Amino acid sequence: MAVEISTQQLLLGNEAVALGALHAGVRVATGYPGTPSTEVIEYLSQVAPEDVQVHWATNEKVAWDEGIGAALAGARTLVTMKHVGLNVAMDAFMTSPLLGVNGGIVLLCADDPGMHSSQNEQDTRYLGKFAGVPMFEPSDSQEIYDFVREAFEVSEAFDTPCLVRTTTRVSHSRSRVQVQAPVARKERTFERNPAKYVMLPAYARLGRARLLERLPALEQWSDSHPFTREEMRSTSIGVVTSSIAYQHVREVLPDASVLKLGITHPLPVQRIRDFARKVDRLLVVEETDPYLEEAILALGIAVEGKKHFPRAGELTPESVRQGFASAGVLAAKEVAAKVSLPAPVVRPPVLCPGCPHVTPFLVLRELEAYVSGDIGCYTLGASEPLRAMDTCLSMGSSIGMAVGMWKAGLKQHPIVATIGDSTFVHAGLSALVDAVWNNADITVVILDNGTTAMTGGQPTPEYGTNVRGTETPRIDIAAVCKAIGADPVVVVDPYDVGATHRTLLAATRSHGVSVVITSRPCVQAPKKLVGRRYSVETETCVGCQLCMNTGCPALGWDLEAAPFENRRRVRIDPDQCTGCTVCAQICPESAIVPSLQG
Amino acid sequence: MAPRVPKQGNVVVAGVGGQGVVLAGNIIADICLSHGLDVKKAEVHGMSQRGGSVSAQVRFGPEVHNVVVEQGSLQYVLGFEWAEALRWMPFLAPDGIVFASSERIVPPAAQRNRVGGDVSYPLEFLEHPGLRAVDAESLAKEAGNPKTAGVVLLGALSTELGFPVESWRDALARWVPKKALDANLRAFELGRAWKQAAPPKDLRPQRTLPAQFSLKLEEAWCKGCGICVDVCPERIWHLDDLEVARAATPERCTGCRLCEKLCPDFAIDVVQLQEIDLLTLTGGGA
Repeated sequence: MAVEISTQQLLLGNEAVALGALHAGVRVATGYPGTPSTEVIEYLSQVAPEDVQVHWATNEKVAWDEGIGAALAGARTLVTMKHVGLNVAMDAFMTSPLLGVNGGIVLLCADDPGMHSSQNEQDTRYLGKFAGVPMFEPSDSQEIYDFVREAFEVSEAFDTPCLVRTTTRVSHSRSRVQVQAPVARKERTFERNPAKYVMLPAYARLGRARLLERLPALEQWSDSHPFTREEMRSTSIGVVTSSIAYQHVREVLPDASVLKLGITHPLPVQRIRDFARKVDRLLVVEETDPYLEEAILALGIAVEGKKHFPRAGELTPESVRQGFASAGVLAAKEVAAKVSLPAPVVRPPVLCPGCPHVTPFLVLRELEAYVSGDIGCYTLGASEPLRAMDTCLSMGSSIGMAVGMWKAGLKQHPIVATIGDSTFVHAGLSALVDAVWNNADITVVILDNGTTAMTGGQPTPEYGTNVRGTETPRIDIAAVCKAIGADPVVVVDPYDVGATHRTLLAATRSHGVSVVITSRPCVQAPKKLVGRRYSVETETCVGCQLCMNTGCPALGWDLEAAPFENRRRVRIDPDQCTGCTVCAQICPESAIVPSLQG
Repeated sequence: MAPRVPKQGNVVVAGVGGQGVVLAGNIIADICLSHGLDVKKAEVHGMSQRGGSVSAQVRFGPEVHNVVVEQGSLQYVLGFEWAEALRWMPFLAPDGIVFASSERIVPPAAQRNRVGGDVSYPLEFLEHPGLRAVDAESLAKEAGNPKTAGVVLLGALSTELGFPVESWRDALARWVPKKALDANLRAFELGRAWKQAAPPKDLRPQRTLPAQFSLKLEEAWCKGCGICVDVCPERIWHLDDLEVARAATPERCTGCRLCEKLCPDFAIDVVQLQEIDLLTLTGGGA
């Protein structure tokens, strides 16, 4: 699909990343899907010409390795991931500034304050400082576009990877972007230089020295860069801020002077000192951790921040207003006097109608297994009505944690790890080797739907294509598990409730590492799947609502039928039913039958 | 007299994943942009799209900083679902207006009245002067495509948010698939002629069941087959260490008698503790 790009348009922050990279002459782009970063690679795959390599990698570390390889080979390279993904790539990321680059490389790392779709709220700015790389913090789509372009130039000028750190609100908002003419690509190629590119201790010491020499030069660069913007208004209050917090400050306290930081590593120390001198009182407004506040305090400058503004969650106009009220610079608005209205019914996310992940969790709950879960749609197996997951930590943790539970002597119930196919390839493979190697007695259930469903259905190594649709080999997960030495390795259809039950029962009773692969394509991606629809025979339904234990959104009360013994009978929404038949299989009254129409 | 083209303002579109909330927000933002206004739009991606609440916030004016709407300043809500519209009422400005579809999509988790699920669709809001109930579902069907309910609401919004009608139509033509454009334009016109519809009724159960049943097990007859464990909708039965069935949470029994009927050894008895007065049963709740 060709997407037209006019000179001024409303762009999603993530689209601005892609376009900025494209106009900076990016030649290789990769990453691992993760909210809120996913749309960068997807959009780039639509707008970039064919000679730009755009693809998904199996995990963030592999993506960064590929990125550094491409950069050393001379290509301008973009790598994308979410904040927790950077933890996976951290080993390679920390050492890469020691090697330097050839073609420029930019890491787009999207944080998720408020944890809309994440397991933690870590502040990536500390990691940018930790690695010693230049770090940019844009506050809207225009800045994202400009900053990404500039980051490629800086990367080559200073021979270092650059980090662009966004947050959910910046990545997932649309605002106007004025694009500039693309730069001409420079043709570079790999130049052998083991002393620079091979991190033997002797060479790494040289790399470390280069990093430390680079930092003062970067500090000077940061101090003189126009991305640091001093906006002088009333001098009674000065606010140092960055990213989305800047937009909150401008909205809530329009008269305050603001030092708006676009580069937050290295910090423009001189500019901060100058600004602090010009105002009577200095405040910092920043989302999540007190990164700027600590740095400014370390300069010996009096400043207030987290004393007034929340450290947990996203900043909101209300919390910023309250913060300024707490600091005494705004009259406290009667936030408490808000109309106390009853909250409407909550609507938590649910698994889709026909989701193949439902049956394994129904069975695991019946088996009362200790279920070590993982990251994906199927983490919803932890919530009602499935409620069949006991733990979930991070990508690929399920298998290792199950081994740990077994080593600790947990015996009463079987120990089961549940992991999706994409997560299994991401970080589960080495854990499965560990389980086999250590003679663990666990069952690994690979919920194989052939896609990365949670983030919108990105291709996986089983998919047969990558993001651009070019054909790729398919990896065979069952063969991989057998080769690792798991025994038995059984593939089962999760739409067959009885077979899934028998298979899981047998697997949990067998000794050693057993693997059960529940194999069915996701009902949403790559295409929406609909089979023959089912409906409820009202006169047969006894309103036990056992079918509703699947949590299927297509099942609901039949408000037109009379209740049976005070229990509402069930109706299937024909627009939502995919015909997976799971509810029909578990209905004790056999009241769920194929619809006559459709 | 036609309303004037607004110089600044904000709109929140709210609904359930899959209803076209993000698209409707894009259309509104596009119209603002075509009138030379600065626009910012916040979207929801990721986990919430799995059947959860979804919203798009559009703010426009000469210069817009923040992307999210502050409480007490929200001018227009476009609710594609009744409860999702009500969720934004606390953000409403004193003269704010809510166009809410009278359609209800009760979340699956709430439809468990056998355990007294929370299905609160508060009635307290009905007194609010800004609340407008639109039967978008029926109007969309009348337009020939049930999926145009959101565009019906855009039509209703266009009677208050005073951009010229042509701007709305042009934006629809830019954003809606060609083959569906006619139905969408019809839906838009039907929305412009919207009339106050009946708001949905509260779905709260009229009474909750007290514990009315007791579960009896003839232990000697139980051979631990686990059928009762599998069939109990309330997951009351468990097998203990001796593989004998145990009712762990008997107070949750709703009296469906599946365990009693399906126990191959006739070991389970479900005993009704008090008569249900069949005459006072709720008539279906609708």
